[in-house]
Amino acid sequence: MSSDSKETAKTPMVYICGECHSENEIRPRDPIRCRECGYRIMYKKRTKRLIVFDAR
Amino acid sequence: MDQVNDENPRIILGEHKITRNLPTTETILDQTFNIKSFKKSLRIVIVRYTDTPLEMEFDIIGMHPFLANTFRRLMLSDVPSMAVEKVHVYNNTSIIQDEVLCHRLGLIPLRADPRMFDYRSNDSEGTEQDTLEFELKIKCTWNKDENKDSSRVDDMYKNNNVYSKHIKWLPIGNQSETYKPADVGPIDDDILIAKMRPGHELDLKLIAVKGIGRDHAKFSPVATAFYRLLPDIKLTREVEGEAAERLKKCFSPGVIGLRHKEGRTVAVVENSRYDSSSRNIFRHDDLKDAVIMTKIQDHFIFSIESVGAMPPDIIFTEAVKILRNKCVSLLEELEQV
Amino acid sequence: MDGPTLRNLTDPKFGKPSKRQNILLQQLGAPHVSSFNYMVNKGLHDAVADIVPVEFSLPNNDRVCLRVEEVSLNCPLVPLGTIGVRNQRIFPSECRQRAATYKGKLGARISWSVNNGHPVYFDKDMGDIPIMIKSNRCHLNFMSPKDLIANGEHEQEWGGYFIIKGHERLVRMLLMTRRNYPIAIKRSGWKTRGALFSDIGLLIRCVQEDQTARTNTLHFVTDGTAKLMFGHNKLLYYAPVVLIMKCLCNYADQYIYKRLVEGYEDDLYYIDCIKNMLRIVHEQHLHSHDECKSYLGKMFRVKFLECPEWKTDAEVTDFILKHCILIHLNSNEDKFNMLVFMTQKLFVFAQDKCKVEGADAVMMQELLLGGHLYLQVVKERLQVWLSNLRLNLLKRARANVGFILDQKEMSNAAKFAGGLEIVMEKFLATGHIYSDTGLGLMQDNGLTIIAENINRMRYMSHFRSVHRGAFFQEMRTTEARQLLPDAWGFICPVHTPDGAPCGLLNHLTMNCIVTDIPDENKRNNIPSVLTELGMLPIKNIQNTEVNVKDCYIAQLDGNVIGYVQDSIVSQLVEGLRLLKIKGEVVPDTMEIVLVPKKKVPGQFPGLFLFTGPARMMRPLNNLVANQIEYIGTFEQLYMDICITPEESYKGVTTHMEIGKTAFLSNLAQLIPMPDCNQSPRNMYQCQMGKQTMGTPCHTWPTQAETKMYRLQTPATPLFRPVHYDDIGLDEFPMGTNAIVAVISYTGYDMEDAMIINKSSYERGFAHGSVYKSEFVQLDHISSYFCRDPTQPTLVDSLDTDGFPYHGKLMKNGDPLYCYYSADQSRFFVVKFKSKEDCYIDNVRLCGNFGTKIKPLACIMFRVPRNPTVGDKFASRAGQKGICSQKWPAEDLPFTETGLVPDIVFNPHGFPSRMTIAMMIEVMAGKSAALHGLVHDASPFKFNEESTAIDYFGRLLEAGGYNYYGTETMYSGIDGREMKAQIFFGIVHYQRLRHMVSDKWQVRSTGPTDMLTRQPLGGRKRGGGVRFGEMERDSLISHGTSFLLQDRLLHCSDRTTAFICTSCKTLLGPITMVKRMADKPNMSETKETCKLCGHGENVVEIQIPYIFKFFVTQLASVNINVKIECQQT
Repeated sequence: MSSDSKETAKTPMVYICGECHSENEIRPRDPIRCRECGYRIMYKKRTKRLIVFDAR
Repeated sequence: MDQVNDENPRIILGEHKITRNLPTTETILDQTFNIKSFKKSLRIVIVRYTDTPLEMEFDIIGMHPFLANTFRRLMLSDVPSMAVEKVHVYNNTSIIQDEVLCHRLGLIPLRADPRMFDYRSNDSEGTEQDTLEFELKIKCTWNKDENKDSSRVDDMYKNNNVYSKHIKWLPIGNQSETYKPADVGPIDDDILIAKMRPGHELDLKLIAVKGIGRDHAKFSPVATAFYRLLPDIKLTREVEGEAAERLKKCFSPGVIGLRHKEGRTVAVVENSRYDSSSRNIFRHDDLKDAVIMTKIQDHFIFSIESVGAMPPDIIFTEAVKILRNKCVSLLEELEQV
Repeated sequence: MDGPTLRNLTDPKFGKPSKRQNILLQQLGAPHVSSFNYMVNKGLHDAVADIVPVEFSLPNNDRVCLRVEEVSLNCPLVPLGTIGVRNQRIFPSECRQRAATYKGKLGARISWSVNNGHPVYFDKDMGDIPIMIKSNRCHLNFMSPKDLIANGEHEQEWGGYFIIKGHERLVRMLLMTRRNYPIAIKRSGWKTRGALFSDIGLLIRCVQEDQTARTNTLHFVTDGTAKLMFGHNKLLYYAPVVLIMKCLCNYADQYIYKRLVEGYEDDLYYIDCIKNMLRIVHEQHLHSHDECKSYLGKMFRVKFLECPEWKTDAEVTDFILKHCILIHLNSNEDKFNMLVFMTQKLFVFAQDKCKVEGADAVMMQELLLGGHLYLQVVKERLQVWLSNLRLNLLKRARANVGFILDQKEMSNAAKFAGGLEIVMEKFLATGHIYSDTGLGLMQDNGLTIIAENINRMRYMSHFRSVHRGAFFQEMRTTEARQLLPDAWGFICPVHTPDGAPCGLLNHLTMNCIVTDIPDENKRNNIPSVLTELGMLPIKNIQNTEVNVKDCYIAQLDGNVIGYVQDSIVSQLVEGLRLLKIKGEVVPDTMEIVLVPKKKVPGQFPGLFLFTGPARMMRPLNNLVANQIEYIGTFEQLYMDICITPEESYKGVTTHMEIGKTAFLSNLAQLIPMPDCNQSPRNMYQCQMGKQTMGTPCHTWPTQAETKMYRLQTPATPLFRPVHYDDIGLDEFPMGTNAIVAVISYTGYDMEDAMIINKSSYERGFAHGSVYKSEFVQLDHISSYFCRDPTQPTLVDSLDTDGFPYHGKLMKNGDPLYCYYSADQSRFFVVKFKSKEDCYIDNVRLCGNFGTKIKPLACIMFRVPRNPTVGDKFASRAGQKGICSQKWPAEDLPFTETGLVPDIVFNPHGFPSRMTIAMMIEVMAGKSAALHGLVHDASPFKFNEESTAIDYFGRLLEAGGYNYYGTETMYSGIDGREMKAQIFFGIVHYQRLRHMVSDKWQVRSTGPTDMLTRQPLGGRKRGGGVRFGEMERDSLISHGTSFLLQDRLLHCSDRTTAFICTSCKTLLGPITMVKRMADKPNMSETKETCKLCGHGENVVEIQIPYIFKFFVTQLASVNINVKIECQQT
């Protein structure tokens, strides 16, 4: 987990544009704007983390 | 009324009330439980057994209702089976929410003989003795091979429906030697788990353990197990003509038959076993005195519908074993007091 | 009529949007959208023309005149100059997602002139104002279902609401007084309006072309005169009606007298009164038209500051007549005619020769529509903006010597005069108006509502709800709440809440439409059409031999247009009605009201025609033309309408209802067999349907509502009215089909409690989730979201962007997000605060236009809410109950076929509630499941001859079940057959949104009030449940005094206090801190009484702290409390 987290610390987070669904990398302080279409709402892409659920 | 006062304990279904008959001899309902006479009087007759679906119908004759009910209850809630208990979600970008998906996965019946497994204690790591592991890794994509013009969803996408057949068994320890791949996995291949569209992805690990139905319905080995009392229908007088037709309609098909006797149509009881006791006869004022509907109180028609992991006869014997073990442990407890 | 089908479930075209939208659903938004469209197309132009120019003189005596010439409203677009944006249009879906307002630019053209010189024009951007969804300024207008879906909307989107800061808000439809018709009213409050005033009067709500409304009242004064009330800036003024008449037109007294008594020549009292009134004006030395005008202007000009000082008194009078008196009429002559009519009606009414009409009847009402109110607010704000501009100019002029008005100065002043952006947004966000004139409304609050989307039913009902007005909510009398017979077919008798808003908050019936602005040409045709049909125009009446007494007066929208002779009136009306049905020459939404003359006093007779917008109308089958005709609320009163063909009387009945259920609202039509229920149960179901968990939307990933409820395992009901299919409710299901056993089995199902089968629950019965959103805005423009790199513990819960990852289980106190504050130059971690655990559904970043924007993000949570003990369920017959246990399946009874119920319902719920529909549903549901059918539950399908019970009983019998729906059951506990037959079947159950996890409240110790030291109340604060007066009474009556003391003293605000037994006061004793004599480093305390100077008689007692507080408070008003104490 710890080595994994170091890797993620370097990679910027991926966000998905709410209009054209293209993936954008957004760093802190970046303006919230899709690079493809200029749309203003960006959805965070699900990061692969282990989550345990009870099947009940 | 003499017709009903034979040696069997009967319930007489009246129009507005239920009465009991006066059996000629002492019946099982009147006696205190005695293993000797019980052994003597008990009869079990298997009436029907089918493989697909796994179902069995059998009669238990000469048993007190409390015991019959105990077996029914044990089959529902105490006979163990295997089911998915934990789900490790690595990725789920489908539209179905994580916890809802996991709940669905838990309800998928698994093919695995629970007798081969132990109960897993609460916080231990799973071992080959008490755990089965599965994997569900699937991704929906555009189907590039098929003709582009088709607008059928099944042609446009690959893996747009996730079925139970997509669940893969991951043997742990020596499980791959103990079991054949055919012995382990979902019982049905065509249970729809989720619907997806291109870009959606599932990456899950399922962990199945042994449990009992009292804890959660998913561990119950039967779809349902129940019994009913054997109906017995007698005609007190001859019913003929149009009335006979009406009489026939008041009961389930096959209960009342029509005989042609000297140019008349006469109703006779053919087989009252499969009557649903709808009591619709009481809606006919002219007919209700022609029929006596009774049920034999110590004759149970059991139906067991297995989910598929174990055959119904095994489930029943397992229930009997559980009852025996419970009695043994009760006696042990009592001795210690 | 076709019955309901299950085709929705098996339709091969499932998931494909239909070509056209559902007409029934489009009607929900229609009144709102059409009124907004009217505003954009015509209203704004008319309103701007009616704005009073602001005229004033500068210090250099230049006379300035400011006008708004024209305004224009634009679609919502990306601001000009924004680069890199592919799609310039802004869609509603985007505004919802980022909590923005859906708004478009309002531009205005302003003109100014000095000393009546040439006007100079300039354009001013008034800011962005909210745009109604699906109006003709919305991008969704005319979009096909497919395009709507592509733009993140629902297939059936009907619009009619605004999006304000992400919330859907709707202008509430208010019931208003019918426009342009003088209503005879008795109102005791009127007696206090002036000396000798009576409670009798005629009230007319005048609405002019641009929907501006003013009320005038003609009061009957007990000395036999009449005074006309008019209002200006919320103040009321009264003037003798003859004075106003004389101001209106330059007629001789003889002519005025003749017109007034025309047709009433034999009413001596009336003639006397008229003569007297004419005389009184002369006694004031007001003889001529001009004298009257200058008198009126002189009296009122101080109150009419709009008129500049250089206007003459007569000009002020013209202003008053134009803007305050009968403003729906343009010419003074028309106003005069109307006043004549009103005076005649008033005196007839005062002599009890015609009946009171009252403003509470639906026939005298119309609606206030969103677009019309919006237009009024815009108009008023533009007027205010003009006066702000005037103030700015004056300020600049006074500050600078030698000020000369030029375009530069004007632009500068305009820059600081504000705009409409904030005001309009605030108006819609709060529903509050700040207005000088009051806009002719009775309330300035609660004008807008949130279109809550708890489920489809609730969402739909908002669009058809009409409110009587907040003013009536406080009234003690029930008059305004009564359901009067004339509401039939327009207002649903079933769908009104119980409790405070009962009868005030109503809902329109399904068929009821609200009229739009009529086609102008067709409206203008009406007088000539009438003349062709035999009406005598008012202009010619003097030249004919016809006696007015034998005529009906004919009015069109409150304008007297002529007279119709008694002999031809019914023929004329018939002819007009046929033209109306055709709708080619005259508008088909015209209301033709013929109030007949009767021998006994009735309503004041006349032929009244209404074409205006905002009236309620409903379709009926005209039996003469055999076509659909729309009829209005007033019109319906004098019509003969049958419901079924058998009911019609030949030669009498003219109209027939379209369906038997036409009088029910949208929601009431969804109740299964309401005709079999006790009526309040239907009302309860209308309420409960709106609180059901269901499927409010299909756009879950893009939702940003604060709270949404979702049922995970919904099903389509097997017993449902046709209306369910008509409005496509299968797309938004909200209930589950439960197998119900009506049996008193466990004792846990007493008093409306019900038991759920534990195994059913574990298999997913009534599972649900709640979606919650939280918008996070940072404190500073250059703050940003980021995980604090110095805190390694955050790695487990947050990603590098400072937000939690999808699917994370959030517990109270977990880090929710992390940001760098530019304001304080450090990282902050914000913790998640909630009593409930929930999952992260998604995280979105919301951008915006402009440079100075604070970062905004929205985090969606998902709370699993599967049924627990204490959750509320209800069938669709107003039968609600609380789940009291999850009962193991093996303990529940089972039938001959091995079926175990999902829900155990106590049979004691039936006798007192008389919800026969639910009993029918048990049988219908069972037979539907048995035969693979879906049954029609529309009301009035069965009758006494062929009953529903028999129909479904036969179906059950055919399937081998008992005719009466009962089954033999075996006890799951002891295994024996039950002696009673059990009523067993399938019922569609709804899960209501009231869940214990939102309501539980518990406290042992916790926070106390600072002042009283008593425990706090309120669930959020961790307070307790109030142990109130009634609980106290209960303990007293039981004699449990120790328990009482424990609750009210020991567990509350017990304190120890000192009392001086000699002074008998609590306030005397004080605690002195002294150095100990032997140990100088330590101190000891000693109580002394300040009053007697020593502490000999000071003792310690236990009292409630609030008592000490009370004694202190009394001391502050100079009351001393003496307490007798006895040592025991």
